[in-house]
Order: sequence, then C-alpha cells, then structure tokens
Amino acid sequence: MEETMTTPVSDTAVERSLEDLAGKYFTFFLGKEEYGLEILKVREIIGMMDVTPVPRTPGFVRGVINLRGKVIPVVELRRKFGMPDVEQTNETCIIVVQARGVEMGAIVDRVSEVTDIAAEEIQEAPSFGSNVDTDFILGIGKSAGHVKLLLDIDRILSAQEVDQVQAVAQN
Amino acid sequence: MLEPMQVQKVLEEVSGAVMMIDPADPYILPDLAVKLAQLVSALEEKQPASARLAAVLAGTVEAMSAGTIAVDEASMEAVARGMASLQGAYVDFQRTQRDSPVAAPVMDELSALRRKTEGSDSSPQDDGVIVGTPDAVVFGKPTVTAGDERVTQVLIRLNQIHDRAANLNPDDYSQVAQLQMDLDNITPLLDTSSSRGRGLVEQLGRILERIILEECADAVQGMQIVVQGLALLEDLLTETGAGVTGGGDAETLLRRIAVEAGDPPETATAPVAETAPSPETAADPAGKHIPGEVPDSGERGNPVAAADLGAECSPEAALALSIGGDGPDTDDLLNVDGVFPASTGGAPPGPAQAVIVDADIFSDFCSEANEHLGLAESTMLELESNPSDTELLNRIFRSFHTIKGAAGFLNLTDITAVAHSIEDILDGCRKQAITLTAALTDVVLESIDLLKDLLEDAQRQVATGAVASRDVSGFLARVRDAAEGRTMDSTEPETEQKETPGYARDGQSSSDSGAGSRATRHQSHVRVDTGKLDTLVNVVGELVITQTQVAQNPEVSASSSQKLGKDISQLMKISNDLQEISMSLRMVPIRATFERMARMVRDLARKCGKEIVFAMHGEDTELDKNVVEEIMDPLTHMVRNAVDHGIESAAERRAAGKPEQGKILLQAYHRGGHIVIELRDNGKGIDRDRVLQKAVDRGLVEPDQELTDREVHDLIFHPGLSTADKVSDISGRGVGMDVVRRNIEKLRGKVEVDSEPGSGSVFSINLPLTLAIIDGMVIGVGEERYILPLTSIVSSLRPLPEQVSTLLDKGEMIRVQDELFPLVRLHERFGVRALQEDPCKALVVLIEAEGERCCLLVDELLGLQQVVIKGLSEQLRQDPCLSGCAILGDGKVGLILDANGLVARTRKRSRMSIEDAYQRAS
Repeated sequence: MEETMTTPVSDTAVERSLEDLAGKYFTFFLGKEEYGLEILKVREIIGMMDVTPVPRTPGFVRGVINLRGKVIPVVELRRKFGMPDVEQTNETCIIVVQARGVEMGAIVDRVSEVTDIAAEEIQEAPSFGSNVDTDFILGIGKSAGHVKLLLDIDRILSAQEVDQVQAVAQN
Repeated sequence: MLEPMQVQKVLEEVSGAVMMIDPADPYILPDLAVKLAQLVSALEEKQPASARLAAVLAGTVEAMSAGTIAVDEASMEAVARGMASLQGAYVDFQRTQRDSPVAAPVMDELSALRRKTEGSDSSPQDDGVIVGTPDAVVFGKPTVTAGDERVTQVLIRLNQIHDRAANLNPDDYSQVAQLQMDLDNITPLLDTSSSRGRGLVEQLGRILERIILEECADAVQGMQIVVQGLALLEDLLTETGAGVTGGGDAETLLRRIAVEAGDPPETATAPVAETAPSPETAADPAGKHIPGEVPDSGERGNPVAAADLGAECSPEAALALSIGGDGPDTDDLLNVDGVFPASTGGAPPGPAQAVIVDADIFSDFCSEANEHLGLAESTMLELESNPSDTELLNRIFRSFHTIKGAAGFLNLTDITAVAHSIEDILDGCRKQAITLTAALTDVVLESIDLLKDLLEDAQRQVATGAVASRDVSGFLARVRDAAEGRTMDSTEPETEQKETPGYARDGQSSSDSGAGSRATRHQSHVRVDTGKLDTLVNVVGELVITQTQVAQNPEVSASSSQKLGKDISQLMKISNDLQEISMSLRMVPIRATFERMARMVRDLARKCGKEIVFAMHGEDTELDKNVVEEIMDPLTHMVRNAVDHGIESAAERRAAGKPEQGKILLQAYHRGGHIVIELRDNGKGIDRDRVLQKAVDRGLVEPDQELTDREVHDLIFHPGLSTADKVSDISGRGVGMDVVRRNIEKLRGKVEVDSEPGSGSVFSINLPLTLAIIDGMVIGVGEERYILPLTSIVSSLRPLPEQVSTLLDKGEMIRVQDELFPLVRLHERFGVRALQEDPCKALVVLIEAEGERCCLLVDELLGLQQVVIKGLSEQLRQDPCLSGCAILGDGKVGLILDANGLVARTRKRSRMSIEDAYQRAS
C-alpha cells in the first residue's frame, strides 16, 4: 500500500530545489497554522457558498459548486490534513486553484496575505516519521518570524487520486 | 505563467472588481492582490514598465487589505486609475509590441497614498517596488498628433480589409477586385508624411492585380502575402501614429513588402520620393499599376534580393520569392520551416515564432482542404446526374485547383501531384477533350478519398512526427490512363482497388470532414472552438439565473417603480433570447452526413450492379453537432442494408413488375420538438412470415402468439434475432440492427420500422434536437435536490399502506396496478437526511429504464425544469446512479440521476435478496 501511495507522485512531479521555490506565495490559515500556495496556482478567492454533496466521494471532498456556470469540485483542506472540523465563520472561504489542469476549490479558515519568500528563508520539511504525510509540503518558509507551510497543490490532488483508486478497488 | 489571453482577462477582471470594492467584503482585496501579483510576473519580461506599475498596485491593494492604507474613495480611485493605465498600456503593447512607459501622475498618486501612511509601517511587499519613472510620459493612446484621427480611420478600414483578405477565396476574382478597390480608397486618406504607407498600399494593390490577371503562379500564395502585407501596413501606420520617425525596423518591413510586390529592393528602399503620389494619381485606380513598372523577372533575377532574404531567414521573405515565379530555384525556399523537417532542403531554419505561424497556416489549410474535398465530392455526384452543367465542373475544378495551390505552397508533394492529375482530367473535360465517363467519375471520387487520407497523414505527421508513406504513383498512373481514354474495365471495381497499393478505401476514415461544406458556399462562417461555445452557454445560463434572482429579489418586487418592472421584464426577454441563441450555436445542418450517404449509395450500387436513385430532402435541418456525429454510424448501417438487401436486383425488379431503378429517399424534418430522419426504399420490404418464423425458432415468440405487424417489425431490432448467424436471409434486414437501435437510444432517440411486402420499407429515427438539454423533474430529498430526466418517469404516487410490502425484512416493494416494484430509498442511497421516511407520507416515483422499473422514495416533486447537462469530473463520477449535474434555478448545483443505474442497482439487489431467501430456506 505504501508503494501505491508514492509511485504516482514521484513520476509526475519533478523534484525542485529550494532555490526554485523562492517567489510569491498566497497564504492562508487552517487553525493556527499558516499555509502558502504558489501564487500562479491560485485562480481566485471567493466567499463560502452552497456546496452540493456528491455521493460516493472521499470524506474530504465536500461536493461541487457552481462557479459562474462551471461546476467544480471543492475539497475541505482541514479534512484532507486530518484536522477536526470547525464551525464555519464569515472568514471561511474557498480558494480556487488550478491543480493538474483542473480547477478546484479548497475550503480554508481564513486568508492571510501575498508574500515574497526568499530562497534563504525556505527549508525542507522535516520528517516526522511515516505517520505524518509530508509529501505535499514543498518546504517551510520562515519569513518575518512566522512559519509558513508551502503546499504543493498538485500533490494534494494526486494523493487524492490515489485515494480514489483505493476506494474503487475496495468496492 | 499566464497565457496572453489570460493576461487580458485578468486585467479586465481586476479592473471590473476595482470599480466596486466593497470594504466589508473580506475576500475581494486578497483576490485582487493575488491577481495583480500574477500580472507582475506575466508582464515582467516584455513590459517591465507595466510590471512595475502592477507591482505598485499589488502593494497598494495588499496594504489596503492589511489596513495600512485606508480603503476609501481616494485609494480606490487611485487603484482604478492605475488599472486603467495598465490596461491601456497592455492594449498598446498588443498593437505595437512595445512597452509604453507608465504615466507619471498615476505612479505619483499611488506613491502619495503610500507616503501618507508611510509613518505607520512599510509592509514587506514594498521590496522591489520602484516608484516613479524617469521616462517621458506616453499613456493609453498614442500621442495625439494632427493626423491622428485620420490614422485611426485608416486603421479601422485597414482592419476590415485585412479581415476580408484573410478570409476570401483567391479564386473568386470579383472578391479580389473588390479588395483591390477598397485598398485604393485608402490611399487618399494617407497623408504625405506616411508616404511609406502609400508605397506599400500600391505594392499590395499590384499583387492583387497580378492575382486577377493570373500572373501569380498561385493565387492562394499571393493572397497570403497580401494578408501579411496588410498586417505590416497596420504596424507601420500604428508606428507613425505613435510618432515614431522611420527607424531601421520600418525600413526592413518596407523592403520586404517591396520584394513581395515584385520590385527590386533598390527601388523599394527609396520609394518615398518616387511614389509620393499627387492626389490625381491616387484617385485614379488605373494609374497606380503601370504595367511596365513591374519588372517580371525582378524577384527571381535579382541575386541581391535572394541573398538578402536568405540572411533574414524570414519565411515571409522566402515565400515572397515564390510569387509569380515557379522556377526550380524557388522551390527550396518554398519549404516551410519546421512543419516538414524531412522535406526541408537547404532552407535556413526560421525563428521559433515562424514555426507557430506556419503550423497555424497548416491547420487552416487542412480544414479548408477538407471543406473543398467535401464540396468537390457532393458536386461531383451532382455532376454525374447532370453532366452538361459546366458550372458544376468549374466548381470542382476550382476546388482541386485551390487544394493544389495551397498544398504546393506547403510542399505537400503527394497531394499536389494527385490534385494536379485530377485537375488535368477536369480541365480536359472543360475543354471537352475528354468525356466524363462513369469510370472517370470513379477516379475523381477515389482521388478525393485518397486526398483525404493524405491530408490525415500529413496532419498526423505534423502532430506526432510519424511519417506515413503512401504510394500514390499507382494511382497517378491510373489517372493518366483514364485521362488518355485507356479506361479500365468499369465492371470490375475490385481489380481497380488492387491497383492502388497501400491505399484502402475506408468510408469512416474522415468522419468529421466537410461538415457543413455546402453551407459555407452560401453564408459566411466562423470556425469556433467548441470549448468557447460551452463557456458561452455556461455564462449565459448564469446570466439567466442572476437575472431571475434580481427579478425575484423582495426589494425589487416591493418597489413600486413601473420603470424598474418594465426594465426587468425587458432584461428577461433579452437574456432568454440570448440563451436560445447560444444554445442554437451548436446546431449544424445534417447535410454533410446525407451527402456522405449519397456517395455510399452510389458506390455500393455500382458494386452490386444495381441501379439506384438516391434522393434527399430536408438536408438543411439542424441538429446538435454531437447528434450529427453520432448518427453517422447507425445511419450508414441502415443505408447499407437498404442498398444491399432492401433493393432487389434489376432482374428481380423486372420480374416483380417494378421499374428497374430502385429508389432510396433520405429525409429529415421536425416533428413536435424532435427531429425525424427517415429512410425510405422501394425494395422488397420485410418478409413478415420469415421474421416471425425465425423468432419462433429462437424461442422469442410463442408459436401461437398473435402479433401485429408493428410488433413483428420490431423483432428485427431484437438482439437474439439479429445477431444470429443467418439473419441476412430474413429479407435482408437485421444485420446488427440491435446495435443500430442501441446507438440511437444512446442519443435518447427511437427507431421504428414500417414495411409493406413488395413495395418497400420505411425506417424512421426520432431524435432529440440536442443532447445538451434535458427536461428534468426536480425532486427534493431532505435539503438536497436532484434532477430526474422526464423521459424515465412513468408516474408518481403516494402509496396506501397496503401497497407497501417487504421481502424477508430486506427489500421493500410497492404494488402499482397489480405489479410489484422494488423501492429505492434515495435518502439512504445518497446518505442524506430525508424529511419523511414513511413511503405512505412521502412520495414515490415510478421510473423505467431498459424495460425495467423501480420506485424511488422522495420527499417532494419541485417541478419541471429544462436543464443544461454538465459532466462531473472523473473523480466525482463514482456513483453509477448519477449521470451528471446541472445548475438549478437558484444557481446551486443539482445532481442528475441516472435511471439506468438506479434500475440496475435494484435488479442486482433484489436478485441477491432472493438468493438470500433460498439460502435461508435451505
């Protein structure tokens, strides 16, 4: 099972050096943790809207929304990262991202800022052993005293695809 | 990285959003900041000044978001102005490819904003932001000079001419002449300061003249040069408008055009004084092309020009040489860089940009050629029944001629050769040196197939690099034979086939070519990416929803303003019209499909030695493009059956006292919101007794069962009957008719057959107008709403307690009119909370699919709605009970239920329950 988790990821994503990671990030919060997404992957930020649940999808897929006539899936990042659900507030919002050519929404607690992170501020994600999945973390940015976890949105989706395959296989 | 198209869009989005920043909305400012930051990186490379402005704007918006700059009128206005100038600069850049420096006032305003708040904190985003530009200020439009208005006017006209030139058919001399005249009319508008422009206009006019006089080796090529020339002219004028005094750039452009017009470069570099036209010459169209002024050998005889062009490595220049000249020396230069690497001789590699342009030209060529082939094919068939019509002959000739020319330009030697050989035959026919026999018609039709295949090969080669080698020499030899009258034996089509090695005729090979080929002759068309159409439909759908929401807003309905009510109903009318139009964009006439059938009937009839007249009606009936494509296969099958088995041989027909010629009629028409496609033949019809006998033999029908004619005819679609080995005996009908029916049902259509023994059969296919819209019943289950296709609903009821029964405490069943149907509790199925779980208090909907029925337990029926079907992405389409989704009236997404999936599920489950029961019992 471990192998099926890693193979599709490693052959699609090219390893990037920390220098390549320097650049602009859009950051947001899940609880107290601040996360960053590469700015070019972010399409837009929209307020929370009615989400239509779709049966037989993994728990972190909240459902689909109507984005100006386009139907796109929405994932709950909290559930994806195994965090407890929280009450929706008026700061909860959806970040529309482009992951592997597919538009999708990610629900986050609140948005933070657009920030430049220099190469020397980025370090690799430390390993926490096998039970903490750090595959989709590009690196950790430490600008202005805050720690920002830089996410690889493509890998989040690919891990999800693996989940899907497993879900189907189990049926 | 953002694509150029996206840059434009993001710019527009941001400008739009800036106009209505709501300080209370927490998302809009971060959203703007993200988009501006994306713009910075998109613009950085080519428009550093604009990127600087975008960065300042991003910083400002970020600061507004963070609260360091107050979100007030002053700041919003400053940002809006900044955006406007960014957009202006971008538009300029698109036209001139030069980065306009940003207006200082805008920068000043923005930096003033920041200075105001400087004391508080300078945010980290300030890094890398350079405020203010030392450059002189040019902003938005080019600097306004005296002649500016006139330049704009010329530009507008030029733009129109350019568009027309890009689209016209070079063989249509009246169009070319019109273009030439329009070009002439521009000359007086160009003032003396832009004499370079005048020279250019004249040279382009001269090229057009040569096209009309057929001096050009190839009209298509000539036109392409003119189109490029027009683009250059536009550039030139824009530069003049922006106040640029003749730089080296302009000079090169001009020289290139001069060569293209057939002038030696020496005269071209100094055209200003010589051609500086007095108003009289400009007004007189005849005065502008003095025959002697165009040295015919100029382009080929001038080594300086050639060397010059070689140094430039420009494909435009290379193709320039070809105009008017077809000598061997130009052939090498004709190779298009990058497209056909294998065939490129000594041609210098072009710049990367050129390859893209050429790939565009190539794909244009392919679609155009396919269109011409489709046209030629249908015209050829027309000609066959009407051989004396020389206009038809000319039309076919022109199609081949155009293909030959364009293929020659792209160095597709095989295509050129084949087209050329056919052109020779047709030319012979025009001159009445050759009579167009049936065998010759065969050859021409065959060449069309061959050309289609060759085109496909070439496309594949460009796309994947795979080189397909098809030997056309055999075919060419045959064409020569045919042209010289050594006609092959027309009664042996099989041997003909063998004579063409590597070439197999395949009716399906180019299934999407020539769609709407005839229509292009009458109307002007625009080829549009279907993705764009879908987006349009999406957006218009959204407009209608928003419109409804506005109309139903309590504040609006409470308003007593009559004007408002009127305006809203007007808006509703317009948006509904808009929706209708946008939906109809996907509709195409079925003509192309019908024409293909005509061709097939002809070929098949010749093969089986039958005489068949094929007629069609209603070929302009429009259907959804997908339906037209999907109907091709089943229709092909049915037509083949009709020719093969429906129509008898001449001898049989004579014996039956019928005219020897069989008839097949294919027609399409509207009937009650549906399209009917009808295939009639006057053959022998379906032998009722034999079909019945077969059905009895196979146990499909009880021997003593009384069946109506209709029921018997329907049997031919039964898989058990039609896939049996000897079906073709049953009056010829039935080979794969079950497949035909299945394909048609996939399109949500129906097929029926009616037949009269001895006098023929009628097959009618009933199809929905479009696949994109369904009539749906919106049902509510708890908080959720689902859409059930109306076609699958049989009835709905609220059952009485005695109608509900359970099976072994597991499956539930509902008795409807003495039949038991399994009950599916939708809320359980989809894991949602229902309002009402007791079937006797809720509602039950009886659905049917593939002949099976089941009951759905739902909370309520919310009414009928026409919905536009949208697919669910792959990872969401896990449930077989869902077929897609649609946007409901309130803008929320509703899932569309798939009756097939639901019925199949219950079937599986009830079967399991029964097995369970057995197991328990034993």
